[in-house]
Amino acid sequence: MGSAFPTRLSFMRVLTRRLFADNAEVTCPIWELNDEGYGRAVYSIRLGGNTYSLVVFSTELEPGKRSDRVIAEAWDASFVLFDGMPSNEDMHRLEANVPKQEAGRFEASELVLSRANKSVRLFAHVVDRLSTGQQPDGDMIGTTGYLMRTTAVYGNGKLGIADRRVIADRPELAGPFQAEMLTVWLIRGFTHDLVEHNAKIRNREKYTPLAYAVKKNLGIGNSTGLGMAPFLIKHALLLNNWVTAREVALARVRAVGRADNSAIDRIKQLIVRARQHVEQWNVEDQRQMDRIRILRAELREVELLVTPGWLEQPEPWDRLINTSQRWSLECQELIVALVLEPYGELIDDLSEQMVDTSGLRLDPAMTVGELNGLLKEHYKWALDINFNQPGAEKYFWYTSLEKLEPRLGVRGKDPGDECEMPLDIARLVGALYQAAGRVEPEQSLAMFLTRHPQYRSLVRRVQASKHHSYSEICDNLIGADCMPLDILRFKLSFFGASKCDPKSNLWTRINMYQGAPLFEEIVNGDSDDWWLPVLRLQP
Amino acid sequence: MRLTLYEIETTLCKASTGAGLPLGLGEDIGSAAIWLAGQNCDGVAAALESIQAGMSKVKMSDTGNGVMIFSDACIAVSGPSIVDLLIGDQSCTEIHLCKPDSVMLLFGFAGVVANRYGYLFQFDFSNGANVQVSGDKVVETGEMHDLCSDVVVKSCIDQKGLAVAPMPAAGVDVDDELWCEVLALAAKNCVPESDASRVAGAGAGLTDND
Repeated sequence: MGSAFPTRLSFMRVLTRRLFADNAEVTCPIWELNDEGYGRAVYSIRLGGNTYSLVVFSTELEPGKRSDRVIAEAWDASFVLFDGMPSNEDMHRLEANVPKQEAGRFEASELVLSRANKSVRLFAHVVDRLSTGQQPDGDMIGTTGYLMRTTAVYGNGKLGIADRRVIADRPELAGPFQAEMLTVWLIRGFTHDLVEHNAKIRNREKYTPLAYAVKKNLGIGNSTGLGMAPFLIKHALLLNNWVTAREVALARVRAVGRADNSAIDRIKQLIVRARQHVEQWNVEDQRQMDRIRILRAELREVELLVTPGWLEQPEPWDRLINTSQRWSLECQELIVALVLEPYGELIDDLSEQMVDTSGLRLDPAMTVGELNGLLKEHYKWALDINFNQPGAEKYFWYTSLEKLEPRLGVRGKDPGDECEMPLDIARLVGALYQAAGRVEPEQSLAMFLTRHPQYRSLVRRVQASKHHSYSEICDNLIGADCMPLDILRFKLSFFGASKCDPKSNLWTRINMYQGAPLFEEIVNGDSDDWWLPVLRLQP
Repeated sequence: MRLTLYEIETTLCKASTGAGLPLGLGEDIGSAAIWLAGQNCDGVAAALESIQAGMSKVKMSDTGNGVMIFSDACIAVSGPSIVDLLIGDQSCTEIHLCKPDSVMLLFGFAGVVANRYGYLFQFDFSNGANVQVSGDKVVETGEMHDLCSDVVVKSCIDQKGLAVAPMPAAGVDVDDELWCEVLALAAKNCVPESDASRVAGAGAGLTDND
């Protein structure tokens, strides 16, 4: 999980393919920003026969208040994705609420709420350069890669915005996080426009716009903390469906008997690109940087191995996947993403199976004996953990009253373990197994749960494992060696994020939409070719 | 105030666990409340009425002839089991409830299961009222049911198959005072603020002027 890479099934890629398919045109009907770049703007896009509008409020922010944490209370810019085109009345209402984010209140006409902070040094640098007729320094673009970072993207009924079921039957937004991905893509475009606006105002005569290559390489950053981990635990079937889609895609590609020339050429190009991308991936985190260095060396081996002659032999992708087991997990995961890339026609339909519309359900007619069978078959990894060992229960997950920020505490040291979030699935499974072992195996779960209601939620999960092989993160999430960062990277890779930049074991920055199509490239365009983008500032 | 179905479902779940109920019951209470919202019933009031009593042991006796008796039934705790036993335990054909504290919430539990699995639930009240819950509606016949009445509950397969439950797209109006009570219970799951937690608990700094 902690080595995952984006694939062509990642949600950003799914969105951009949809944008191309719909010839979606972005317009900017409102641009009311002052000379400092503060004010409001609206971007509208027609997609799937519906109009969606990103409403932007850009505001002045004291440096001391610029925090990527959930506990922040002010931001450089705040956004809402509006269902349709907002009226003047809507704009007044939104202006009073959107900059307040969690302290505001929203209506069902709002689909997604978000905010972002500037990467101060890069933003100022780009304004300086453009206002003097120069392009930004390539190293600075390469080091940061974005002008703003989103620090939260809220969808699905939070704070009064529309419930997901409102948009679930619209094909253009039916996939996982498609409304959120659309919002972030539009925000990225706004950051390009904002930096050009500020530069132009500063010096209209010398001003030059962002060069195409620079603009293309400016994605949108994101700071991600612990909240993603509880999400994946709670949404077990969603997790299963994401991984299943990826595994089915991989199985289809591995089953390809012979690679045609176009696939071979494509893979060769993509290996070169992957190597260049990884060369440009530098982080301060020592653990990740060590992995990147190993990956760089291994990719050179991959490039040497995968000659056209090698790929022309039968079942090339299956052989490559098998061969990749000699390399690091980072390299193995990168190769999985690599081999999927040329086979859109074979696998892109799987993106439609990555949603979950049913949720976890209970089968009360199942017997305790059958449940025990599932526990033995699918939860051995949990039953094998000895929770009497030192460190096995080191951590506890909790929600702070402070803006409900998810946090991790050390048991016995930090207060609050009486409010522990139920992410200790492995430990709970052990307790369920003990309790289930004390009753007759013929007893129905309806009766068992009447007497043991504390296991009701867990039994639903265990039952789900019968038909959903990937519904559990098979690890002790309260153990001393738990790495929440791995869960974050995994989820973010499904979003399509690259260049994971860990800031701690609990927190990471990433880049979204780097190399992705620009607003002006969608209409009559057809390029979905932006997997692992490479910074190329020279034409 | 107007609330989304997501807010109702998740906050009631948290309020339930804040009141001491297990997570699994909280999840079912949240689902029941939004199913009731689709029936223009006040699911929040129905749920709060029952979860405020907190956790208790289910008082159930088995008569041995297919009838199970739940006395002093706290529906937040016993409601999901009542529905489970009727559809999932072959030894249970009907359930007698004595003094249930929130029959409306039980309609919600029944409605969710009826909707998912295609069942009908029949509620016969001791004052002569009858209520039938299917996957998409609650139908009351005869006398208005008396909240203080005892109830006999049975289930059968709905021959009409699976139904689509109505869901209010624009959300639901909920009494402000009532919602404050729900939020107060939900907040019991959270750890109070502290400087140490703020600095160390999330693994990130407090300012980001990079």
